[in-house]
Amino acid sequence: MENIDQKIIDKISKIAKKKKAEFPEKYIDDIASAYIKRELTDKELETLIIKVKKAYDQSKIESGEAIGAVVGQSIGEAGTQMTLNTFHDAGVGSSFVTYGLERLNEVINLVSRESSNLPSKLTAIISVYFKDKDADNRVDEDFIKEFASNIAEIRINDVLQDFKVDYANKEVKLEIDIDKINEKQIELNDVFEKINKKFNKGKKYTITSDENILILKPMIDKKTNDIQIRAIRILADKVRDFQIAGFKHVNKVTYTYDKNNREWIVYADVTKSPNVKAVANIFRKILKMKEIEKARTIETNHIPVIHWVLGIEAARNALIDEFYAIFEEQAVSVDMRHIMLLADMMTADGTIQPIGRFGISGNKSSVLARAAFEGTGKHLLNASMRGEIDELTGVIENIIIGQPIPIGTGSVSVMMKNK
Amino acid sequence: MAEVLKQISQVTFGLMSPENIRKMSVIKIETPDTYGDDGYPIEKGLMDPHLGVIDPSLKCKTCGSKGGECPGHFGRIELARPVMHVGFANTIFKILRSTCKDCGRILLSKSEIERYANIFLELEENDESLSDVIKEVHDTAKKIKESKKDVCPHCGFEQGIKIKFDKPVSIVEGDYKLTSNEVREKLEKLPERDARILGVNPKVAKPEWMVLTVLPVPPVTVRPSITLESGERSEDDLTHKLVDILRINQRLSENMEAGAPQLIVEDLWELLQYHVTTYFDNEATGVPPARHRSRRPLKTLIQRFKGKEGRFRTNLSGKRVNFSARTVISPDPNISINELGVPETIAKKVTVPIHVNEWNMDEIKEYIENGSDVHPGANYVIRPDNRKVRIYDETKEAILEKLEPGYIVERHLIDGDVVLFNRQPSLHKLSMMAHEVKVLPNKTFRLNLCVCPPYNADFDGDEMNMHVFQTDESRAEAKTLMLVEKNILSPSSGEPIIGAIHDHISGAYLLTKESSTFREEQAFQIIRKAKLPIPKRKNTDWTGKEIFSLALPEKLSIQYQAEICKNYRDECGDNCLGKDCKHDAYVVIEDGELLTGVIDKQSFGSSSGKILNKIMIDFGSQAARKFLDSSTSLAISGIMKVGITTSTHDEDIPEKEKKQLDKYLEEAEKKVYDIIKDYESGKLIPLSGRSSKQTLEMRILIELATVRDIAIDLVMNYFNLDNNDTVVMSTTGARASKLNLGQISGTLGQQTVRSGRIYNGYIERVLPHFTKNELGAKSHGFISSGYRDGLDPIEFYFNSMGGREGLIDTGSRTPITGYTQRKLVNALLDVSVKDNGMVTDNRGIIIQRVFGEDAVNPGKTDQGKVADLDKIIDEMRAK
Repeated sequence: MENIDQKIIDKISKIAKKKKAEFPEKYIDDIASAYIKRELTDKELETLIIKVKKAYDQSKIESGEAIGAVVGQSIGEAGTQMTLNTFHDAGVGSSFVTYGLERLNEVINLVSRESSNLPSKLTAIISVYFKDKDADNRVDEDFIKEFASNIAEIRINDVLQDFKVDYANKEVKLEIDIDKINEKQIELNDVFEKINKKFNKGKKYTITSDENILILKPMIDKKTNDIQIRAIRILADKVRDFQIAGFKHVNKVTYTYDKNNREWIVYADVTKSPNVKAVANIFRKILKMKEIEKARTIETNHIPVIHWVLGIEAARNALIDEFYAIFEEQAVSVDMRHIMLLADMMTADGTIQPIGRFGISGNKSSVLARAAFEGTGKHLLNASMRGEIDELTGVIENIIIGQPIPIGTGSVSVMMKNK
Repeated sequence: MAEVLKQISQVTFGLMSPENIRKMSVIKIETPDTYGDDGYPIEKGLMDPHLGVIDPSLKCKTCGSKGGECPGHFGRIELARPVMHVGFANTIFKILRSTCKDCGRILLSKSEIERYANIFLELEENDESLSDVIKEVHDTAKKIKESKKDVCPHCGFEQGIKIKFDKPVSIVEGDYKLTSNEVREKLEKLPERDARILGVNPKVAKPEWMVLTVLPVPPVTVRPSITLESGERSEDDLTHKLVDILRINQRLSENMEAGAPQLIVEDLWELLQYHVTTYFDNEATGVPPARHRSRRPLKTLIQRFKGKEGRFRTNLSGKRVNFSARTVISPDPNISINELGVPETIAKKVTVPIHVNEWNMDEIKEYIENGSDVHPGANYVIRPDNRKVRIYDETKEAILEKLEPGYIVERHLIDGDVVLFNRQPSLHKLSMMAHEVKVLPNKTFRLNLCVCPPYNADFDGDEMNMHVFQTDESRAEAKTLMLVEKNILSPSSGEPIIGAIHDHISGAYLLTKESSTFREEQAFQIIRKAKLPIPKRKNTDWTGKEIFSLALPEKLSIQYQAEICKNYRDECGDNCLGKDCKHDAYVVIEDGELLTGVIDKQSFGSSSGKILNKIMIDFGSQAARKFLDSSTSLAISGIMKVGITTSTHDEDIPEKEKKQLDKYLEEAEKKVYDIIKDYESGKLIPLSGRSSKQTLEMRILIELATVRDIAIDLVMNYFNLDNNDTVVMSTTGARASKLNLGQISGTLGQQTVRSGRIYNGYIERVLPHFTKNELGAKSHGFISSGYRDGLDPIEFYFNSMGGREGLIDTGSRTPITGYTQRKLVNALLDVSVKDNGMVTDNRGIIIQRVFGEDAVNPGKTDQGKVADLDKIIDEMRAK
């Protein structure tokens, strides 16, 4: 956004006030930039404001409008025009992101319980942007490669050349692939040190190393005076799964060069994390890194995590962006205002609520409205036990009992004098 | 018309106490039987006439009214032993888990009870959900109950008893299964205060009422028996279940009286419990569902409410209506978009009530004279005393004589009546719009083609519904809000959703293109057909642009790029010549005159019409309707004058182009071969995040997509807009796309399944015609032929594979979108704009302070934009 002189804005606001035009701020900014760009005379500016006022007044929303239903229909109807799933390529050479109807459903039904230890079923990809560095310290491909290998989870298994479970000698022998390690920019010594540190704790194992070969041997069990086969197997699994670099659960890292903005973007795929908490932890860690540009790295398509880490307003914006991207990709036109209302509805009470039985529809105040949606029996039984009162303020409740609905033309009534 | 006499302001829910049930009941049911041998209901049986009657010839023994008028009355069954209610079993279990075994009080200290009670009050005041707090209470109390260290804070009784819940209704304390009697006794001990915070509101529901001692028997009207053709009586599922309950109940009390062994009594008790359980819920977990003789599971109480076919969704949220009609739809380009052609047979059946007064007396008399069989007639007369009289030839005279102001006459549907028209699935508000009736011969509903997009209708057998308004208020409301012309702009995007389609567009193009001129007679014929006023003669030829200008509003001025401009984008690049466009692709309209440019999709097409949008916003909906009506008529009469033909010859391409195409294809295949060679020799460098196989696939796909694009360009370059009508259709946006044409004349391109090349089929190859593990283009779904030349069998096979995926996708998508739609609408439907501009839900919770941050209704904008400043300035300066 170019910087518009405050004086011009004040001037326009003043004229608008004189003409009794109440614009949102954005309109005044737009008029101001048009004023500068098209070099309007004062008279032209005045007529422009009058014309905009006329257009604005004409297109204003009327009170009573059942905008919720319109939004629901607009977004739902747009869904019928979408394909089930498209795997969109977020730039050449990066991972695929799901779009289409499936993704719309995913976002609408997101699980957000605060203490959730449930597996996060949402696809989760964190996009990382970088600060512009000075000329001699540019963010280049080498830097990106290093960064990517720094955050990607690397386990022993990923850098093995050979792995043997030797039952005869009762030991586990691993041979590390030097090429792979170099490629991932890890020092062999670091790996050994890490293994030493982890497996030497409590002196359960003996560790011997030779160049790139490492041999681990469990200690002799004092009770049986022998090494159990089971212990070897457990050790083998443990060693192979041992994380030597990166962040846990970041199972895929890709990067791409955005030609339009001339910058590198790194995508960290954390979809396979065990739960929302884990995703949030990775996200926090990435945000703490000093190389990145924080203001833009708030981009992940996992909305509950945004809520956890950055708060509800960020989650609302993320929802809007996400819906917008879904419709954009499918080339269906849905007005931004509708998307905003949906996002606002989902975040209205300070937490993110999914649409549907476990969210907005299940938390309605009216028993009848809830019963008419899903879980009829449960809602009726609970209501009778708790002595709930249905105030009949909503739409379906009134349809059910056969009364006019209190919305749209039904929201006004005529008062008559009793003669 | 019945007005709303009293308004229901709230509905309170609660449990019924045994006393209440007895008070409500008119009779105690004792005999487990329905009808006797004589065909009359048995006294004290389940069909006792005290419970109400269905047969209009019988009288109810309770209220004395006839069948059909009697609403029915409840009876009761006194249960020999108490029985648990399935719906509350889980709650009962949770209560027992949270209370002391000895004193029955909640296992929380006094201060804690006090604290929770206060939280409850606060939540109730704010109308918030209690569920979370109730859960918290249960969780804390449960911990005390199950720990051996703790004692009851009220009586000091030692805890540490594990209570288990066995679905559906058994509660086991330690190893002992509690009987319903014991459960009831325990629940009775629970003080009101404690019950409240355990989630049972003592004002309306005592916990012990959740164990039933007396069972209400619903009136006969709720479970009517039906007589089959054979004269056999068939009872309702509920009656069957009640018979079962009664039978066991009787046996149980007999056995108890006779002092039968405990074991037998317990068995019968359990059986009674089973029947009562399935009477309430026949899908309860842990019990086998009770079945009908035909093995069909019975539909008992919960099943009656639940789900899509349940009471709530089929009878309460949606209701059947009178004064509606349904038939097949067919197109009629000669009626206005506002109109609806209604078959006379329907017009004579569905009626409009008219209040007779001095001024319409004569008109109405004519209707009555016509009777119910002649079209503008009337079917019924409602006298001021509310008696409804059918009009017959014999009664006509008498009715006419008595007719006076105050009578209501139900007359036939006539031209100009407003009706609602609907096509399912009703996905958005534009699926129901108001039309003006035009009574027409034949048996289908007729609609203007421009309204097909909002309804998503076509004429391959679609049927639609019509509803006739019965009150003046509803009619007025529909006319101002729901009329077709008021809904030209889509509320979801601000684009015109109602607009020209198919032949309207190619017709308008053929009419307005530069070379088309008409002799004056021809021009007048076209204008006449469009029902436009005939202009003055000018004694020269007319250009199509002049003719089209007649449909435009006088003061309209607008400039934009036509759809065909897209065809020349590569040629022109960014330097658009504007009104000096060589291709006539830049439309300039000044003061209602089409100066340059052709009319096509961008002008008045559905979902993109620029002129349409402008007229709608600047001149109002009526002008927009008039424009659409006359412009589409002009286009149609134009296309009839000019003529349009399409055949496979339109897609013929000469040898030279064909050879060129083959050369491109060959090159592409060679390139693909090179990539494969690179891959096989390991020289292919994998892209970030991909394996080398994935990279290979991607490279091949890109390569083959490029060659298809080249083929399309080649074909399109050869085709000529001036002599090829298929091309006219595709470039003006009427139907088909460049891609379609390219696939017909050029090459079909790569077929995909799951957005990749095709790999399914035989082991290591798709078809046995290929060598195993072959990676080439042809063997994984690349089709080099086009539809015109025809596909070879292998290509046809691949084409079908790709086609099938599309079909499956649509098939599985329909239910998903349906459910998504239902969820979205249900979650949002209480949200509305309040007088102060705030967007709130029905509880008054503010969702947005201003809708969409600028309080603009997208349905009243130009694709979401309130004003295009640049355009306003341009217009301003032009003047």
